[in-house]
Amino acid sequence: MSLKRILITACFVFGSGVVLQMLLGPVNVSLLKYPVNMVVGLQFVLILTAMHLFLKKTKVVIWLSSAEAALASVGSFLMVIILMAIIPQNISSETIGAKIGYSNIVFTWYYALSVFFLLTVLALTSMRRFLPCNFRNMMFFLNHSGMFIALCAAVLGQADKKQLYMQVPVNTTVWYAENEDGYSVELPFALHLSKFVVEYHPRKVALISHDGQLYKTKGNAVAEAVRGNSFFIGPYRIRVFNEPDSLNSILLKVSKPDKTTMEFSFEHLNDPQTPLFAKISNDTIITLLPAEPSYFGSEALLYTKSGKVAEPVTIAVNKPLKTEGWDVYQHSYNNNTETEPGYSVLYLVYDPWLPVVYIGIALMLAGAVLMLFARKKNEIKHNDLE
Amino acid sequence: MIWNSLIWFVLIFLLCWGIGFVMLYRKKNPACVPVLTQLLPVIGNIVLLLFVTILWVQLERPPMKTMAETRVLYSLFVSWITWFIFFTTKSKWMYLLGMVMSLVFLIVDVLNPEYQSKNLMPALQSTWFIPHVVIYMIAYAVMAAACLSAVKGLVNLYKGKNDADSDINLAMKLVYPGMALLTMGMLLGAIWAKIAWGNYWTFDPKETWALLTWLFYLFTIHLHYFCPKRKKLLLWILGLSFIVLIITWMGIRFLPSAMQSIHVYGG
Repeated sequence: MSLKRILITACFVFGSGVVLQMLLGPVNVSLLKYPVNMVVGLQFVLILTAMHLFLKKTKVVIWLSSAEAALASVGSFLMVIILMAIIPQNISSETIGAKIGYSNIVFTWYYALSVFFLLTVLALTSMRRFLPCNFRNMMFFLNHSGMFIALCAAVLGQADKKQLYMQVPVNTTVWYAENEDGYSVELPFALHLSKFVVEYHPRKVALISHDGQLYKTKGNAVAEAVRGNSFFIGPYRIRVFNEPDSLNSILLKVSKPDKTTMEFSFEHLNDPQTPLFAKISNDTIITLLPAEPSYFGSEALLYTKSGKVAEPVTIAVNKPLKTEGWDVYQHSYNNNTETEPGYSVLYLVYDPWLPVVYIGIALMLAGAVLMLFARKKNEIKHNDLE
Repeated sequence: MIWNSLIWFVLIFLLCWGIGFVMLYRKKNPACVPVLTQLLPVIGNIVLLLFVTILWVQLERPPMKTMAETRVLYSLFVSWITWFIFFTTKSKWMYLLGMVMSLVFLIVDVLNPEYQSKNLMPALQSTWFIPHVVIYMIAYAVMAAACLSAVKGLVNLYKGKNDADSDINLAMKLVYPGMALLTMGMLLGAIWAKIAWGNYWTFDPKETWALLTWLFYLFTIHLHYFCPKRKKLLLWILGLSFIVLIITWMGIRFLPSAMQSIHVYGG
């Protein structure tokens, strides 16, 4: 067991990746579409199983499930993730960086190689510790095999994943969505948007100085414009009056330090998202900040190729709709009907490998629970993998 | 709003822990002192717990939305965990460092009063929100205790004392459950992200840093398991891992790589 060898191995894996990247350019993930990813995945698992069963005693397999390999594989993956953590990602550029791929690391060979190395080590060590069945082995197996399954499925499933955006105007039926390149894709279902619902938190009152910044005060410069509220912002006492349940009618009474009182009435405001201003002194402005939405969701009718007709559904944040293998998320909306008709933007994801990733996550979670309750032995049997 | 009275709660907390600390270090102690040194911090912790509870009730939402709120929560967990370690191991170091660490984060909050909004944006209105944040905050607090133990071990090693073993043992006893909690926090976050945003993992800067933190601790665990004799290296990596953790939690918004992160704290 040598730390030097571990470092050299990790650097070798990373360096080979960089060389491959320079020679071949970015990894073409779309080649791994179904059924290629299925075949590659099965072959990978079969080869690893065969290695475990028949080549257990060879130096290569012994090394790949050794302490050194474990540390080296975590090390090489760590190197890649450090780069991702410090270099801004997803930026397309034409510089040398584009060739080395450092701004799109998930599509580089050094990412791919370090993941491949990690997966190989994970699989071989998991199989080695599957038996005998005891608490520590079970914990070990759940953690390692769970990570193998989740990571493997995430990587192989990437090419099969589809992400689309669907813009549905109110009272319209839509059965297509756009992909990232702007092309329309026909869907196995259609949505008719009956109503779009937005609910807002109460507006807030704030004071702004002449420099456009929030009023500088020891206490809060912002407070909720709820009827009956009375508060101080700096030396100004502000009282709020408005109609019950009305976001669009607010009366503010501001008492200044010189004992004078000013009234500001903001009424019939159709768009709760427009900020409103009024001057209270030469260098101070009182403002009603845009109301923050507390809920937004689409109430729609769902039609599917498999036979659902006009089934009422609600799609809201944290409440996606599942239909025909697709997950439909509330993404954004335009509720400002003055300029253009209201519409809802839905984000559609098709990820057939998700259940496999979830199996991996479930195993890892089970392993983590066991780890939480595991009593650490003081005398560890070191290198029992070697 | 109770938030404006935070300073009083912090003062009571400081008083309880501080008196306990002075008692702990006095040479001639009456018989009641050991009980008091264990009891006083508990009172301080309960006061802090009371603050968080009242804040939760007043805000009508979990106090986990803004950076300042997570700091109070973190101090609460650090104080309970370090007290528990002190209670079981009688380590005065852990008492002192735990007190200092809790206080540092509380004082930052006292000095930077934030506006506490009741509003919770729709994405945070999820059953996954509380477990994700609470598990992470407990994990961070456990790892803080592990880091404190590692610092003590390093001081001992560099002083020429060759008895860092007990510190390493304590640190690693904490790192294992801490790692389990980090794993749970990360995976629950992934499931929540799938439900709220549509993808379980997008390499958002916060996610990348959370993964980096996790990998650092993963490396630490494997290093300890396989090379227990590399004590200095192990302790340094433990310290470094905690620095990465703190950057993940608090430093992300200062990084150029994180300008588009969705994990921007409100407030």
